[in-house]
This record gives sequence, structure tokens and C-alpha cells, in this order.
Amino acid sequence: MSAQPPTIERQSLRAASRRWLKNLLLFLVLGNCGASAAARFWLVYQFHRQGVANGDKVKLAATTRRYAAVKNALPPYTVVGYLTDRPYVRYSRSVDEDPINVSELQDIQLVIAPLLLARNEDQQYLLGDFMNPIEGQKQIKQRNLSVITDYGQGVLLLRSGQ
Amino acid sequence: MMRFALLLIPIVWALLIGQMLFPFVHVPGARIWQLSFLAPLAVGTSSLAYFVSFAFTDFSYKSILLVDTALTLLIVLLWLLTRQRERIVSHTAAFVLRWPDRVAYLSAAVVFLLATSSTFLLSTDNPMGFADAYAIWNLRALLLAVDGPLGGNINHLDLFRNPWVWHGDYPLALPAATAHFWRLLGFQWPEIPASIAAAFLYSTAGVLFSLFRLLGNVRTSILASTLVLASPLAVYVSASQCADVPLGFFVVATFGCLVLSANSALQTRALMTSGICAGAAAWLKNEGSVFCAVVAGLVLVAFTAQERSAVRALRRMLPFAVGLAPFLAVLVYFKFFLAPPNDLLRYGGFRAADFFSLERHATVLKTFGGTLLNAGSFVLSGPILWFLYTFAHRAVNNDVRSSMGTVLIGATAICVMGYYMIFLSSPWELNYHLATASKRLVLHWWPAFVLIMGLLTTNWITRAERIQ
Repeated sequence: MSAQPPTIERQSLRAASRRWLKNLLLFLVLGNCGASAAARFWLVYQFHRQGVANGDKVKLAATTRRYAAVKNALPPYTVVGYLTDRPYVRYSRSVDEDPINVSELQDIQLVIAPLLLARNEDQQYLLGDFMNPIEGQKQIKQRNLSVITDYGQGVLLLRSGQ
Repeated sequence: MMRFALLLIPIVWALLIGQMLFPFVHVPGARIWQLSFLAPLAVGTSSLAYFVSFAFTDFSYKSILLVDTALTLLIVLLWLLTRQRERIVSHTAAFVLRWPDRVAYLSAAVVFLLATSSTFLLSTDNPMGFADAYAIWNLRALLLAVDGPLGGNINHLDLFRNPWVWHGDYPLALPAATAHFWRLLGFQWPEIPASIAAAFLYSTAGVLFSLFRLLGNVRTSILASTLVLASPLAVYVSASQCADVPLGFFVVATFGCLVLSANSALQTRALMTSGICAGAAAWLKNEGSVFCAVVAGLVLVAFTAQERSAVRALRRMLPFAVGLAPFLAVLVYFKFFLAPPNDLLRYGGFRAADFFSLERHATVLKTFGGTLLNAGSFVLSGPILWFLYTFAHRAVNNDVRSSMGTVLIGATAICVMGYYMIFLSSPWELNYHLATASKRLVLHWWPAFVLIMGLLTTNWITRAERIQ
């Protein structure tokens, strides 16, 4: 027994359903694209508005105001250590440690480039970054450092006494 | 104002090189194809020129202008010598837009507007990008943008070996191009890296749009480009100014040129352009070097299988090698003479036991599977929907099983496997490494995936041959 060839009606029905499926998939792809782009825009817009409301619209603006003057104080590529009374962590391979402080150090590095920021206190030159001036003076005396420039707001360029 | 006019130098290089590489006119999609390569070619050439100034001159402003002038003369000379006499003209029949295509065009326009608005807001709020862009790429651009000659006891060539320069072995395409633009301008304008980042996003969409348009498949061209621009992750990572979206561009552009190499009139130029793109990928990121080696090897294997002679295959590979050569030369010089060893090797290297750890396999597989299925971070799974769409629209006798189709699929599979192995043997804490890198890495392959699946919908070898 040979199989009956599909009738013309059945063929056209099959073609129509295939066309319907293709169009459905086309609109699913387009709808997914539109919804995703709109969701992203909405999120970005909310962050933007939040930034404007908090007064920190442009990232790095505050860091630039605080540290930018340091960048021209020494020749390019001079390694500058970091001395602070703020709690911070060294670069870590673990997710357990607080990444915000690392991010702050990255911000400072970007602003003072082309100087290189070392995350230790063993360099000839040091960037002093103090929240508490009394604590800052104590650390400077303890380490026998001299102040090259005081940039205000607790930011100092220091030189090792040795 | 004069300084702003100097920015035209790399753009003129890119225009002339583009004219040499893509001589076709009046072919639907050709203009967008050429335009899509403008920014990447400008970034590629200006980074090469700047690196030459950095490595082989006193790095002063005068030396930089001297190198730029020499390169301009060389490119103009090459352009005059190779100016196309017979221009490739289309014989493609006019295309009639059906109503679903019109809806698709309208949706693409809306997505384009939304993506542009998101990119604009993200870029203005984060002028120097975020994440790796300011920790690595823009920081290195700032370090490279110093005014020379430095004098004294400072040797700028020691810069990347300084332990306080993070990831000193990362290649320099983006930082050198950004620094070059900044030096030409005379100040560090944050809009430069932001513009480069945005240009790569639109170039990626443009390459996909124009390639399928050149192949005569209008609907796929709209959808493929929309899938790049609509991806929330692509827009976010692009605005972050990281190197992942540019690498995605060079991967998909390499593949696109290999597709066009099926055309006998375009073959030499298309292979040369794919060599340029593969080389630029290697000069952009370490993952790009892996991609470059894999794609070069696979193309050679494909040619050897076709020609049944290694000598003839190597001769066919020559245009690819010519395109690759300048980028490979600077990369080899940088890696061997200026850069420290790779971080992964420095921080402990590969441990054989990690390859046999079932726990690590499970962790990587779980993250990888989730990331691949949700590539692009769409509302619904973008890859699954695109797969279903292209499978439903697949052309009869499509050419994905051809040797070049095998190269595209093979290169993608090998590189993704390579990423898997890197994660498996990562010396970093595994969850931390996966969390910070896996999503971004998928973006290298998202446009390529869109391209390969899109090729299912068209008889691309036949269509490519028709561009004459």
C-alpha cells in the first residue's frame, strides 16, 4: 500500500500553520528584544535619577576633587605608597572580603595616574589619606615621615625619613 | 580646535584602508559594512602607531606626529597603488518588504533608540567607565598618555613590569588607541574612551546587519543586529568601557569576512580583513590571542583539506597572514620584551588535580550552563529563542556544513572549551573568578552565535558568490 499524497487543502493548511509559527517566533524574538532593551533603559534611568538626587551624578567626581592635585607632584610612574587611618583591604582573591574598599583604591589610582599607587607603606613617597587629623599626625610621627605637601581634607604627600 | 582636527588622522587611515579592503559599491548593505569597520580600523591602526612611538622613539609629541605622518604617507601610497579599477557592482534583485519585515524594522528602530539612550546615560554618569575599564584599560591609557620625553632615570619601557601595574601582560589595543587620541588632543578627554566603547557596540550590530544584507537576507539582518543592541548585558558592558564588546566585534567580523571569502572576487580582500580582525583581537585581549591561533589553525586545516596540498593551502592563507602580521609583530614584541608573565601563571599556574576535581567541574558547568542559556541577559532566554527562530526559518541546503561553516562552529566550540578549562584550573578562588568573569566572557561569543545561527537561514555560499 503506497501512502496517499497530501491533498492541496492539507498542503496549504500545513504551509499556513508553518507561516504562523514562523511569524510567532519572529514576534517572540522581537518582543524579547524590545522588553529587554526597555527594562535596561528603565534600570539605567532609575540609577541616573538616584545619582542626581544624591548629588553624586558623575562617578569619580568627588575622588577627583580630593586627590587630583597629587598627580603632578612627582615624575610619571613614581610608585607612591598609601597610608591611611581608614579601614581598607589589600587586593584579595576572595569574595568574602569587602570589595568597596578595593574599589575606592582603584578610584584613587585612576585619579593620580600616571603615578602608581602601591597598596603598602614601604615606599619612599606616600599618599597620606586621613579622616582624623590627630590620628594622621600620630602615624606620621610614628613612621618618621616628612610632609611634602598638604592638599587639605586630610590628603598629604609624604616622604619617608630614611 | 586645531587639536580636534588632528583626530581626523586615524579616521582618514581607517577610511582609506576600508576603501582598499571593501571596494564594492551599490551593493545593498555595503555602505553599512564599510561604516562598521571605520571605528575598529581607526582604533587598530592608531594603537599600532602609538605603540611604535612608545617602544621605538623618545615618546615625545614630535615623534608621535612623525610616526603618524609616516604611516599616513604609507597608507596613501598603498591606496593609490591598489585603487580599485573595476568596482564590484551588485546584481542582487530588489527586495520587497513584507509586513512582518516592516514591523521588524520598526521594532529595531525602537530598540536602537532605547540602547542609545541607555548608553548615553551610562556613559555620562560614568565618564571613565567602571569595573575593569578604570582598573585596567583606562588606567593603562592614562599611564601611556604621559608627555615625553620623560628623561632622568625613568625608563618608560619598564612600565608594564612594574608590579604595581595590574595585569601588566594585557595587550594594548584599547589603551594605546585611547592614549593616542588623548595625546593628539593634548588633554585627557573622557569622551574618547566612551565614544570608542559605543562605536564598537554599534559596529558589532552594523557588521551583522550589513553581512546578512549583503547575503540578501533582510529579515535576519534586522533581527541579528537587534539581538546585539537589545542585549542588556552588551549595552552595560559596552558602556563600562571594558574590552569584551570590542573583542566580540573582532570575533564576529573575522567570521563575517570568512563568510564573504566564499565570493571569488572578494576572496583575497575578505581573507586579509579576517586576518586583520583576528590580529586585532589578539592585540586587544589575551582571549583574543587564543581565538586568533584557533581560527588561523582551522582555516589552514580547511584550506589543506580543500586543496589537498599544504603548499597550496599556505599560499591561499597568505592574505590572512598579511592582515595578521602587523598586529602579531607588535604583540610578540610586547609580550617578549616589555610584558611580565601572564597573571594566571604568576599566581600559581595550572594544577593538574583541578582538571580531575568533580566538584570544580560541577561548579563551572553549573555557572557556564546558566550563563550560556542566559547569554546577553534578556528577559527571556535570547539564545533559545534565536535558536528556535533560525531553526524554523532554516534554508533548504544551507551551507553551515561547508568547510568554512565548520571553521566558524569549530572555532567557537574550541574557544568556549578553552574558557571552560581556564576556569577549571583557575588559581583564583573559583566562585569569585566565575562571578566576576563568566558573564562578560560570554559576550565575546554572543554576536558570533547570532551570526552562526543566522547563517542557518540562508544559503550563504551561493548568496556570497552572487555579490559580483
